Amino acid sequence: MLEKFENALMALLAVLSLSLVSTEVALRYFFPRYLTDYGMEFTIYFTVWAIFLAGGPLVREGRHVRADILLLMLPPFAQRVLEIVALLVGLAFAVTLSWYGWQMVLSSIDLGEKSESSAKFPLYLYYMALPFGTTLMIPPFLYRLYLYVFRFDPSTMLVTADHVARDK
Amino acid sequence: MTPFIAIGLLFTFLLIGLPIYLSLGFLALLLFWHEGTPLISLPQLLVDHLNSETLLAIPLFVIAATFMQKGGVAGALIDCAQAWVGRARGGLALVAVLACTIFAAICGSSVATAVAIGSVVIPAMIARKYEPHFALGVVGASGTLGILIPPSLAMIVYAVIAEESVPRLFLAGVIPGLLQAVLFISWIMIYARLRNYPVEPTISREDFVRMNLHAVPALMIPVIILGGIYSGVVTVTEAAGVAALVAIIEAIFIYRGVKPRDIVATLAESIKLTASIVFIIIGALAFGHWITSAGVAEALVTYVKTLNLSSWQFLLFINVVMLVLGMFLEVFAIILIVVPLILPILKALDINLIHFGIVLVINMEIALISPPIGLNLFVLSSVAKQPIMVAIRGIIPFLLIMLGLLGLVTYVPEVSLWLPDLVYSK
Repeated sequence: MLEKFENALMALLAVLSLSLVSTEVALRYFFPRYLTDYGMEFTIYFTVWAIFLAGGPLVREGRHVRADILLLMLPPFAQRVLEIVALLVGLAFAVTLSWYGWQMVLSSIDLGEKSESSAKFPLYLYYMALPFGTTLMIPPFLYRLYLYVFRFDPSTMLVTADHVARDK
Repeated sequence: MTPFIAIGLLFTFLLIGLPIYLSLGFLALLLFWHEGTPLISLPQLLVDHLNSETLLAIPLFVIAATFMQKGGVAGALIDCAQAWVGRARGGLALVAVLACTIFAAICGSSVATAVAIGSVVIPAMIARKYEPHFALGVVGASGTLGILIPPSLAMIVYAVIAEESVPRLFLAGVIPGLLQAVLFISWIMIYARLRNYPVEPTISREDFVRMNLHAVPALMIPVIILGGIYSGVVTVTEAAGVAALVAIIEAIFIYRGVKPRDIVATLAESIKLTASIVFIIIGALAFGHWITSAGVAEALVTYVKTLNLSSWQFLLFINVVMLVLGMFLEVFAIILIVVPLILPILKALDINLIHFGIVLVINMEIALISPPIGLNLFVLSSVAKQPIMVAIRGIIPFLLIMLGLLGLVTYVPEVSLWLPDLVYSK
């Protein structure tokens, strides 16, 4: 359910940026006088939002790229400890970035920052992508910590995707 | 904090299995905090850097690559290649190289190229009694062309960090890419003769025409991308957008590999794939910012100068470092860890950054096929349902050819620079 909603949202934003870019190219070629100076700007906003929305799902699915070759050679206990360390570091990173990210948004509202194009788009709506996305990374980090601390099965090493799948 | 402690910490983080984006990003966070920089400047720095048109080309090319890979385009290209070279000895292997080369001009990802072509051509090769290790080796190695022949995701990521021109980098990859294809074809022709591999049956004139016509929509994509960029009609990002749109339309309506109900999931998948790259870029940007602002760049340059390295010695050294990293890390991770660190040194040693970009990309191709964890080996062994050792055995001759190519491109800059210099004058 959650996954469907996230997918739909990301796909929608992707479609929006795609159509914007293509319209822009078509306009430039055929009707240059209707060309705006903010088409690319909004394409960037949509895409950056889509990318930050994907941060949470990537944590939940354990799909952030890592070098796990050494990790996989260690005994289960050590793997578990290192995994917990990685999750704690990730949690600290997400919390710090979202905390200061929201502050950046608030200060941008106070300053009334607008984009330089004729759209004069309030920039805090763009900035918000970062704290919004990193805040959404916190629950999956906590959930995976819970799995590793309380639900670890050393015999099968099952915790992540398999466990999540079993819990569903 | 001295640069060496920071770099030591970075590699410790990587070694204990922290995700790459965290290794870079968390380290940057620690460094900012240690230097007393207000932490609010970190998110500020990130959103400012992400507000970039070049970066936008990444998701658009990823969308194009994903739809091309799943869309059934590969089949049409393979038929087309077969119509031309199928009747030579070892025809199917030559078809694989040719199809990968063309697919690479559509798609900027090596893994997507290897999977798209491999899932069609490897079963066909094995059915025609080619040795499995050879089939996997051919496609695994030819698939790496995805990032050398334009468009190329790896080049865009490098261009973002090195602040270089994407169209120039794209052009610089053309000749080394074609050279790689020619080298592979020569080796295959020798090997096919030794092993007496089969030739494909003659096809009728009608089939020849039909096979070529069916590939025309797919062949239009590189024309749109490269024609658009180099005629100056569109920017790289806009070309990526148009390519993505055309790829979606072709995948759904012409080659029909993607069903309308899968569109949402495929788009979301592309965004997730992009995000896993962009998160690493975020980490690298933050880390790179520290490197320049904390005077680390100068320290590194001074240190390298005391070693009295000439530029060719430095290139040799950095090639070895990247080959070793390539055995354990993934393409974008290596680019984003290595480039911020050595960029100031490259500039100090007067090494052309376009030339270096191509040296880097060839290193990344080798990383994709070097054991133990070359990504192309893994995806192909799962696509072809063959043990990983089969893929590793098959890749070895091609790995050696690639090392030769790397040496050539590293020490004869003209191989990469001739074309962009010709088009753009210096």
